[in-house]
Formats: sequence, C-alpha cells, structure tokens
Amino acid sequence: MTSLSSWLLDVKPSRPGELQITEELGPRGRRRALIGTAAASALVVAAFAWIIRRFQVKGQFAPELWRPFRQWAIWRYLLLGLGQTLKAAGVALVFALTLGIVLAMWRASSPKRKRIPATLFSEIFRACALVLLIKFSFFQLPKTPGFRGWTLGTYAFVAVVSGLTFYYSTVFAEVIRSGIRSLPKGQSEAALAIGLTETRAMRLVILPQALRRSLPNIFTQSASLLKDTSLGVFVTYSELLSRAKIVGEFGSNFLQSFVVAGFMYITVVAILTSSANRLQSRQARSSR
Amino acid sequence: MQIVLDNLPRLLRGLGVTLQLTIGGFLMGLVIGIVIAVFRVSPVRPLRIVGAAYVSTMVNSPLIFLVFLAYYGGPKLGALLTNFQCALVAVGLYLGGYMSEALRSGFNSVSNGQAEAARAIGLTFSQTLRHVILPQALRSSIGPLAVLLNANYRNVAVAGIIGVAEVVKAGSDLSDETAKQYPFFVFSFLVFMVLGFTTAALAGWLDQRVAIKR
Amino acid sequence: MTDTASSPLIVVDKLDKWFGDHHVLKDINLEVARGEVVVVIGPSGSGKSTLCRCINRLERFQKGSITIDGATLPEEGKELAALRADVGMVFQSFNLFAHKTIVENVMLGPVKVRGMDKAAARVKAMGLLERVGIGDKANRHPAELSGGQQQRAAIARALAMDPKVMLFDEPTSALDPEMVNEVLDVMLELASQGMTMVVVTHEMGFARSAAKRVVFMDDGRLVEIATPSEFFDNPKSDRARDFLSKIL
Repeated sequence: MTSLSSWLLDVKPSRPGELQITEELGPRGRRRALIGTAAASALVVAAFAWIIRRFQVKGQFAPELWRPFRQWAIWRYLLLGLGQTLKAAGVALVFALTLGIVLAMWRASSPKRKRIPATLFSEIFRACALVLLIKFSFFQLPKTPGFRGWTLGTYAFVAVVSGLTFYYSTVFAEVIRSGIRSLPKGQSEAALAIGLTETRAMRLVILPQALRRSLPNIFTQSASLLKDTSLGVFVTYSELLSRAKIVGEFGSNFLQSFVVAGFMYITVVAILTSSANRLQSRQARSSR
Repeated sequence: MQIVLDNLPRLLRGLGVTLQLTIGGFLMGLVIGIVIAVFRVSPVRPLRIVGAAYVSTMVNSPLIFLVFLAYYGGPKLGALLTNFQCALVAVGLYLGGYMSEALRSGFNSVSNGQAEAARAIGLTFSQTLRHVILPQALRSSIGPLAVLLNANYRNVAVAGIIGVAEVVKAGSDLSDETAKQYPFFVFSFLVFMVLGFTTAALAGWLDQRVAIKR
Repeated sequence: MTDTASSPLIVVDKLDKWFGDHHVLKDINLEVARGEVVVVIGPSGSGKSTLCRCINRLERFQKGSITIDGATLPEEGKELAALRADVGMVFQSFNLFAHKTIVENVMLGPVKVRGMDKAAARVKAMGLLERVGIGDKANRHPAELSGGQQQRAAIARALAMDPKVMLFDEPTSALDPEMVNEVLDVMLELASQGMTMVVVTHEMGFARSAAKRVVFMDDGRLVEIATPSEFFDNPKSDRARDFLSKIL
C-alpha cells in the first residue's frame, strides 16, 4: 500500500535539475493528493469512456468498419504510403540539412558577398508558409523549361521535396547558427592562432562542434519535417495521409483508417522526438 | 499589383479568417496547455502520465492529420461542426501540446533555491506559487510562446484543405480563377512577413518590460 | 515566563534521516539555548547541511523529533509555514527572488506572511538594509549585486521576519574570498546582539570568535560538542583531530 501510494505520489521532478514545485508531502498532503488523484483519474477515465461510448452509440465498433484492416492489401497500401512519406522526408532532409549547413556557414563568415545572400535567403523562406511553397512549386514546375513532361506523381514529389527543402534549410541554418554562437570564443581564436584560415577554422573546428551541440534540435526539426510531408495532400502526393483518406472514403470508415494512420505517424515521428529528448538530456548531463 | 487591389476585399477576408484561427487556436491551446502543464508538473504520477501521453500524441501527429480527423471523423461520432470549427478545434488541440511544453520549460527555468527560499520565509504553498514561481515561470515562457504564435499564422494555412478560406487559400483560389500566381503568392508572403514582425516586436517589447535580470 | 526563558530554544531529539538507503543523520541529539551561537563543522558529506535544513523542515526526517520554542515542528501546511516564518534561513547560494528588487525581496515576507502594510514594511526593510550596509542597493535587482552584497540582502530578508533563531547553511562558501568578511562581520554583529544562531560553516575564525559551542559532525553522527577553545586546542576524538589537522 505504501509503495503504491509512493508510486502514485512523487514530488521529485521527472528529470534531475527540473523544478520541484511541491515539497515532500506530509500525511495530510498525501491524503489530499490521493483524493485529487482519484478525482482527476475519474475525470480522465470518464472522458475516455465518453469517447468509447460515442464510438458505440454511432456504431463505429461495427466489425465491417474494421474488417478492411484484416486484409494485407489494405495494410500494404498504407505501408507503401508510409514509404512515400519517408522517401520525401529523407530526400528533403538530406537537401535541407546540406543547404542549411552552407547557409549557416555563410551567415557566420565575414565576406559580405556570402553573408548578405545567405541572410536574405534565410529570412525570405523562413517567413513563407510551407503550404504556399509546395503549392507554388507544384503549379510552376510544369511551366518551367527543363521540367516539362513528367508524370503528375513526379511533379507532386518534387514539389513536396523542394518546398520542404527551401523552408527547412532556413530552419536548420538557424539551429546550426545558434550552435555556432553557443561555442566559446576561444575555440575560433585558438583555431586562427594555430594558423588556420577562417574557412578552414570554420570547417575543421567550429562546425563539427556546433553540429554536435545542435543535434537535439536537428532531430526535433526533422520530426517536424517528417510531419510536414503530410502537406503533400495539397498536391495529391500519394503519401500516408492521402492514402488513409482514400481508404476511409472507400470503406466509409474514416475514423478507423485515421486511427490506423495516426498510430503509424505517431510511432515513426516519436522515434525522432524521443531521440531528440535523449540527446538533450545526455548533453545536459555531460555539460553539468 | 492591380489584380491584388481588385480582389483586396476577398484577400482581407482571408486574412481575417487567418487571424481568427490563429488567435482563437492560440487561446484554446493556452487553456489546454495550462491544464496539461499543471498535470505534468504535479506530484501525482497518473496525471503526469496522462499529460505526457497527450503531449506526445499532439507533438507527434501532423496538424493536417488532426484537421482531417476532426473533419471526416467528427461527424461519424455525431459532432456536427462547421469547417471553420473543425480547423479551430484541431489547431487548439495541437497547440495545447506544444504550449504545455513551453510552459513546463518556463517552470523548470526557475531554480529550486527560489522555491526553498520562499518556503523558508514562511510562504505557504499557494503563496510560493503565486509570488515566486509563477511570475518567473510565465516570464520565461513568453519567448517560446511568441515563437509558437508566430509559427501558427503559417500553420493554420492547412485549414485550406477543408475549404476554410484563410489567406493562403483565398490567394490560391484567386490564382486559379485569374490564372495568375505570382501576385497572390507575393501578397500572402508579405502578409506573413508583417504578421511575423509584429508578433516578434510585440514579444520583444513584452520580454523587455518583464525581463528578469539573471 | 521564567520557565520558557530558561528552556532551550531548539531541541533535536533522536533524529534519523535516510536519503533512500543512505543513512545521512544518525541519532542526532542537540539542544540550542536562547541567545546561543552554535557552529556546526565537519567534512563535506557529514550531514551538517542536512541537519541545518531539517530544523525548519526543508528536509523531512524519518525518525525523532525537533521542537522549537517548546512547539513540535508541524508536519506540513500553514502550521509549518507559520513556524518557518519564525526561523530565519540563509542559504549558500543566496536564493534572492530574481524577479524582485532587493527591497521587495525583504518586504515580501512581512507583507504576505505577517500581514504588515506595505509602507511600514518598506520602512522596516530599508532599516535592515542600512543595517547590513546596502541601503543604496535597495532598488537594484539581485543579479546587479556582488555575491557578498546578495548574501547580506538575504540576511536582511531573513531578519525582516523577526525570527527567533537564524540558520546559516554555509553562508560564505559560494563567495569570492574578498567578500567573505563583509558577510561574517554582519553575522558577528548579529551574534553580539544576542541572536540565537545555528551556523554551518568552514570559517574556523568565525567559530572561534563567535561560537558558544562547536558541534563536530562526521558520517551523519554528532561526534563532539565542545566550547571553541576546548575543541580547537584539545579535540577529544580522533576524527576531529584528523579533520582539524587537514584544514588548519
């Protein structure tokens, strides 16, 4: 009983170094907190029960609505969509990260001919709505010389990737730039003192350290990028979300197919966000 | 340029919808975020688990997925919402997850010594919270919350997929009708620039006024 | 009245505390008389800070009891807060409220806990700040002050509650060497005015000149209690001799 109540009530924060808002509870405090737990848990359970009840009342647990998900063909269709999602995200990530590193380096360098274009590019594309970039690319591409005569699917893919690349390169540049700025000044001074040129000091000394420091943020932003591939819906890119919608239209079981797709999204994106959190706490520990 | 001026009323209506969605969603997210943040910092483990589950669900789902869920899934459960309401609910739920994180990090920027010193001079739990922890935690949250608000102007453009004519959708509808892309593209772009600068300036001003020197 | 005046102000009785499996305080018995200055010394990890923090229950303990002015330390809630208001505490890391000015830091307790009106609290706070020598810093924020000044402000904040006893938890350990004396001077003056004080410190000079008794702790135990001259010139236990040989 005591071990259960000490599991239920724990004033220690979940991670070391975080604020402990409540002090250790006395007997009365424990009693009150346990009553509070019971009440709050009841509310949460009631909320879930209500949702499940709605499902029942509206017949959303009917077997025929879930039956499609016992067929491999449906799973295959959705998983291939997930593959498309990952493909767009992967390609865009490589381009955006590369471009982001270049932008960050140029913005941190002294010659104006590098600093000004990089700053302009960053500020412009960071202020754009991603939807707008993707749609714009999708409609402009077929009219652009050299890009004519592709299939609609290819246009959609390229539009998604280029929209993500333009937008996220500026995001990554910002993340890496703050990594560069977080380094002690002594690092670049020491590198220059041993006779490296400014460019080589950046490439050999500053950038590797800055990248390591910004790794958690890079992971967080990659998770966003992965989520934003779903904007492909706007240009008929056949990724997970569009396919879930098609499955839902086909079997008139939107809820069910979105529940399945939701689990897929959350699982895949959670891999990135949880690595970001792990890296973050590891870095926090080692810097203490 | 002329074409934008001709269609200005419609674009401005779109801007109005964008602002309604952004600010409405922001306020709804703030309420949800406060509740979830309280769950997450409470000494009660089941509440922390619920809070963490909520955050990881929202942070790991695409916003447009939530919009679809509300729009296509809602009616199946008997929730008869307008398209705008669907978008608003999705944006609010989504932002709630992010905002609770911003608020939580604000709480964690307050050091344990502050709370101990407050207790040591005889402040009760609620006084400690009110006079020492909350003022500092909320001030540290201003920056992250402003970043969220700023991203939100652009994020709500996903509502266009269910036919909510916010500023991007209004612009692209007009592009389709007039077969002119660039003017409307530039218009939406400028709108976001202005909104972004205004928010950033406002947040900076607020930050300056209430900044804690450390 | 005569009865309470002669009874000890703080009684620590058979105190035991564990951090998980780690037994940090072992059967501690200690009485502090009114107006007495007790200095607690010992190697780091000996439990001396923990003992100090137990006295106003910033740390909970599992066994034993602590009485302050005849009243058993309450477990929690408003009763505990009321007791803490009578026990001043000064921390190693100052812990001034970062969002308030120095004078607001000092006023917060009197206004919110004692219900004093703001104007009167301000007058009182200014008086205390003058007394610790930083009246001119009243409207600054903590971060604008040096460590020594911050610690003096923290002492003023504790004094503003008119405490029955002051606890000092390594008050000079976080200070640059040149600022240690300005804080010790304030503490010496307090001691000379008859304030009851429990001081955890490494400042042996302070212990010698201000302490009525020195308490030596090692490994969670109270090893030796003696007058400063007895303790420093003629320590009885081996562990105390060993400790003194390392630091003196």
